[in-house]
Amino acid sequence: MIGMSEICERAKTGPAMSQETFDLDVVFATAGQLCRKYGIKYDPGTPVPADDDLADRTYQAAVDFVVAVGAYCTDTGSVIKFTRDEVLEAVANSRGRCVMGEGKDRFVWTPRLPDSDTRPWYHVGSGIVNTDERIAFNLVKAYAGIRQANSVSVPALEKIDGYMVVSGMPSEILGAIRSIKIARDALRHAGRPGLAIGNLIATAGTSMATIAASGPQFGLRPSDGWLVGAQAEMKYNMGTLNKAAYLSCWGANVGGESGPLVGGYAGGPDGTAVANVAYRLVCLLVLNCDYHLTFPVHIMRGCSSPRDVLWCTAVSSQAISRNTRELVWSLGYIAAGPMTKQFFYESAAYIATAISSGLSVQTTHPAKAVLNDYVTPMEMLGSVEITEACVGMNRKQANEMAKQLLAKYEDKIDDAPIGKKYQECYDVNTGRPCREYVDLYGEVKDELRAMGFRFKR
Amino acid sequence: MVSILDVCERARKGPTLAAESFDLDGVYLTLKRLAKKYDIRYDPRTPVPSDDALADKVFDAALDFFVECGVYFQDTHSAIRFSREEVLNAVATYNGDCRFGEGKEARVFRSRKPDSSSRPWCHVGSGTVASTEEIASRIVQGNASIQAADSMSVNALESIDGRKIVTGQPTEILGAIRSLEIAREACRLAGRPGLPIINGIAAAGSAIATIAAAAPQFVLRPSDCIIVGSIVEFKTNREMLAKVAWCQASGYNIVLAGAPMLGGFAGGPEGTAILNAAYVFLGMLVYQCNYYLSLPLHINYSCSTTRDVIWATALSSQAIARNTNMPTLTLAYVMGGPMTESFYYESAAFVAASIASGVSTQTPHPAKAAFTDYVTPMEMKVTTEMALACAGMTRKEADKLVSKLLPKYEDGLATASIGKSYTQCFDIATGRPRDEYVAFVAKVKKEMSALGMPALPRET
Repeated sequence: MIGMSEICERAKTGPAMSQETFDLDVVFATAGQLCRKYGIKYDPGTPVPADDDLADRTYQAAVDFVVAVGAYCTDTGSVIKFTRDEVLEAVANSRGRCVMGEGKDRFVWTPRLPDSDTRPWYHVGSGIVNTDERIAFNLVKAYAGIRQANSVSVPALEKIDGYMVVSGMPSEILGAIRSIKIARDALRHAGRPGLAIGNLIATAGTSMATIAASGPQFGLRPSDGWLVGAQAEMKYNMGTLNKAAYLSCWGANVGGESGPLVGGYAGGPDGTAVANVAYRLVCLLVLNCDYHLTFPVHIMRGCSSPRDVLWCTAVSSQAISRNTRELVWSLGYIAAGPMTKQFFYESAAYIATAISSGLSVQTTHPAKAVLNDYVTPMEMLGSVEITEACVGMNRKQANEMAKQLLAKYEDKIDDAPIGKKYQECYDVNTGRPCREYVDLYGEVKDELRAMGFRFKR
Repeated sequence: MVSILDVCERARKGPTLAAESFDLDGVYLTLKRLAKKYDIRYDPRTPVPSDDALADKVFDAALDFFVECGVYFQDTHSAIRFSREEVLNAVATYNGDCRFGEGKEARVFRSRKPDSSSRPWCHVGSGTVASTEEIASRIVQGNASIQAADSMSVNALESIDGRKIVTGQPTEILGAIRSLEIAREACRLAGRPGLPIINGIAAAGSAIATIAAAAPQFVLRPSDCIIVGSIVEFKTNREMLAKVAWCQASGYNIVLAGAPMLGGFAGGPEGTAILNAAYVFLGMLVYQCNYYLSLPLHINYSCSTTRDVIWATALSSQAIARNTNMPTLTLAYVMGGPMTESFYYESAAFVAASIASGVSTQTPHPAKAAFTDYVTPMEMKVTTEMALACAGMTRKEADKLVSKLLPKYEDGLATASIGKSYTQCFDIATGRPRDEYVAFVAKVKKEMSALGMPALPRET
């Protein structure tokens, strides 16, 4: 295992270059070259391929990619390099097991394979910003009320004591602490105080605020999970490394987070598939992470449900699940918002893709997760039930589902309805959904059932 | 009480001005004008004044200064301002009890008064960098073994796992955690695990490393203390406020470290005295600190033992002690290093001036704390003895003593020796001082006694 002080040393002594050179001459050029070498080519006719050899070639390309590219440290302007042996050793020695939560809600997360009926890890919720603490409380309580949930994401807060939460200021630290307090209280109210919070910390944009709010005195535990993100593509700053060092000293679960951009520096869906797999290896090497959160998104459309992003997600997920023991939530950013049928169509396509390709999923995020309060427990429940319905679905079946679903929403992505916000979908006082939304979800579920999704209830 | 969020709001909405304008048109000119208005004049023949009216005028001038200038927030280029009523209310309602330590070592640090015989708080140690973990451990253990020690400063480390500690990088977090682990273990070895560490955290220069390493799952406890500094003069930034927010949310003690620069924007000794007293308001209102660590420095010498700095320290300490209940420690950066006469003479002058003026002292730092390993428990022990011996000394007596001590070192300050390192002064295997150092200190103590310093314990 490469320790954090060695990572810092490499960040200091590695090859120096400008960020632009790294982005274009290294990342972009290498991804393209490796796609050609390994014959990795996007096929829009098959959004969910079932080609094991393609998946394995993508994995080999990713190993080559990590050795050739490494990771860029934006503070030192140098590349942290790794040898092939180090990469392979990291994969071989990966724990392949992540324990989250406490007491009755302590769960062990283990890997899956493509076409598998192994139960996935259910990570429920989102870090979407809430304008009101009561809404944040209601959301977390409802997430915990979803029986299948193994861990939750908790919302970010817009304000603290009436003051806007400002990144880098004390309000960010206090807001982050408050968000945790609300979440823990909500989990207790739901009767699941031990449930792990796996998206620490949504309210804290800076590493300083994350570290500050991440102490046992504020209700967090090492058995929760912290997201430590890379910048697109393959870049880390010292703040990120500081976060990883702090968490590592505490023995806390670290989630390696990445959001490779289809159409960005990694190129098209094929290059981005390679990058998405490479991220898993880099997160292991740099962060010694326990789990991963990945969300490939389209660079122009800002969501995960277009055809090319589904293909990228499918191929990379298969490459990861067939060749490593990494534990990954794949997260879909959905164009449509709450209380729209399109949200569920896009989600179903994304979830079928990821689950049949051997990963777990986080509940999909409505309205691209960019609008405050545009999230409700209904989307989360729907995502969980769709996930359940996809367990055991093979990739060929998922491919057919995805094609049918794409036909329903593909041409509507760019002007997708943002839907309605929490206050319009739910009663803030009771935390219950309105009749209209219950009925809409029932109708959508019937449609999906008719398409072949096998809902349990 | 003005909350930290309200402070941030004022930082956002306060009047904007360039830092240079704040430094020169604000701090410098205001201090000059206030010194004139209140007729505060430096008298080099009286390094420790004993004029209560003068001390009170310094306090009034400090209050005017704080209300007029406020505190500069670097990130938004604006001044955080407070009304006179807010300041006076903060002074009137300030809780002067600073609770440190655990178990047998749990104590309350309170303010003192000038000419008082009340026992000063004995804060022992320094954050001087140690080149090895073994030296750091030996120094802290030696300091913790000083019976009178009420609290500890612990050393910074130069490296972690053979790699240099770099500010802002993970090595800083790892090094800071390690330095605290070493310190706590050393206190345990000295039989005093409850002793508070109140220079949190010498090994962490950045706020992110301080917050990371201070978390309670590692070594520190709320009954220890985190240092939050200020930028000369009267400036703060969001990193510092982040530390404050974290400490407040975690219930940790906070100390404001203020280091007004004589010869800088503060102007001469008069302005430095006003500014040093005004830092107490910054501590109360912006940081809600639990005590004030006052370390006025000479801009050219970077030390605290010149005649004019001693005057400014004494006068401002009297202003603080007479008019507030803020527990205050003064800290001297001393030119002479370990095993030099200059260190002991300088320290004696600074400590006598401070204790007689109604504050407590942290043990002075040899060789300006600028040289790795140039610190030993001997300097800490003897200066603690000085502080205790000076309790009950009046300002007039202190003035006489300081007036005799200054000629012993004043002319040699610019060329003072950095002395000897820990391993030259102490046997690292036993943690005991070498015979040469023991004999040296016995000789210096005799000389100081002849100058009028109350008797210090004999070296054995």
